Amino acid sequence: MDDVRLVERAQAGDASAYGELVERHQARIYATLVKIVGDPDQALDLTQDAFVRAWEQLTSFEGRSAFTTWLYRIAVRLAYDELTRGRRRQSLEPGIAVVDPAETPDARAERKAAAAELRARIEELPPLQRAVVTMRAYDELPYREIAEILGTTENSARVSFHHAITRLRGEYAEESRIG
Amino acid sequence: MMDETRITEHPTETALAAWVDERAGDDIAAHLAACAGCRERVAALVDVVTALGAEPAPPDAAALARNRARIEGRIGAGHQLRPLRSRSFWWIPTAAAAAIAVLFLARNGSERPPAEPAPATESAALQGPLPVVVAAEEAAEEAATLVQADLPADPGAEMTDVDLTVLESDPLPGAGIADFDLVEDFEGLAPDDQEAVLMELATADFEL
Repeated sequence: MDDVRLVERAQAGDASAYGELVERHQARIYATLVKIVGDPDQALDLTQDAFVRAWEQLTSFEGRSAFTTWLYRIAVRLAYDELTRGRRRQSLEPGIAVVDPAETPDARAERKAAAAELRARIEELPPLQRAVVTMRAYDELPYREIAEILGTTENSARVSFHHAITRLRGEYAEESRIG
Repeated sequence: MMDETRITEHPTETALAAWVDERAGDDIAAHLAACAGCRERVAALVDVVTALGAEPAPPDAAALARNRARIEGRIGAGHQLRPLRSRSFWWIPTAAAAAIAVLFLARNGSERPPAEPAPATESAALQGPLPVVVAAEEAAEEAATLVQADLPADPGAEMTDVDLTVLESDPLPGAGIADFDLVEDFEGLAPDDQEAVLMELATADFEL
């Protein structure tokens, strides 16, 4: 059964149909949220909150966008609000991990260290930049959509991303010039 | 090709970031073609973006199963489907009715035939708003005050901006005041019925 049909059934009050939507999409929502907030437990909690919020508002969903798009917007906005309220937890997980069976132990250790360093830098970013880097680099959204979800302008989202990646590079010096 | 030794000015970090992001700027491309140092800076930025785009470690299946169970538990424990309108826009018809009453009386007050000559002691009071208008205004103000009091202290806790974002892309059906044909309905009533509605509005205890 496709999402559209499941949503229709859920809108009619069928909680099991909604459970199927949770089953299908929570891993993807979690992936975005853990990239934004960094902490796996917090990301799982936010995933729960997003699905519950979506359930509560399901009668307002008219299918003009895909259910996953609508859900994504709710989830990202919840995570962004969480960051702006300063509810951060200690990150236990770099949140960036590429599984490669051929990777040597040394290479894996090096990659994990680099990922941990990058994660630490991400957590130093302002909330807007943290949200934007995930939406842009991981979810590959256009700035128009990022701006709409986060309630900012396209230019602000664009500048946030450019500033963020220069800061994450570790040599942030916007006005520096090499003579 | 440009001679690297003659380059005296290099792009800023953010200019290079814009180029990495959107390939913006022909001048940047030309500069990179000649400048090994800036190509290294670009490569470092590309590494950052690549790392940001990498898949995170997935949660284990058991964690996802527990999460699903918690979601279903929360849904079953009272987070029932409820239209936003019932929670957040219920007051619109009430406020609309009160506003209509005020506007109707303000507009038609001079056209209403005086039922009886007013006693001299009340003539001054009749120069101001009619009592029914005042009562309707007070009722509307009271409703608005209680609505404000009913809102969460932290707007983000209960009704965050995400709601509005979602509404923009997938708007609520018929939640706007323009969707209520109260004016038309009201004006379609017989004068006695209009009077009865106005008196009822003026004396009603609005349930909040």
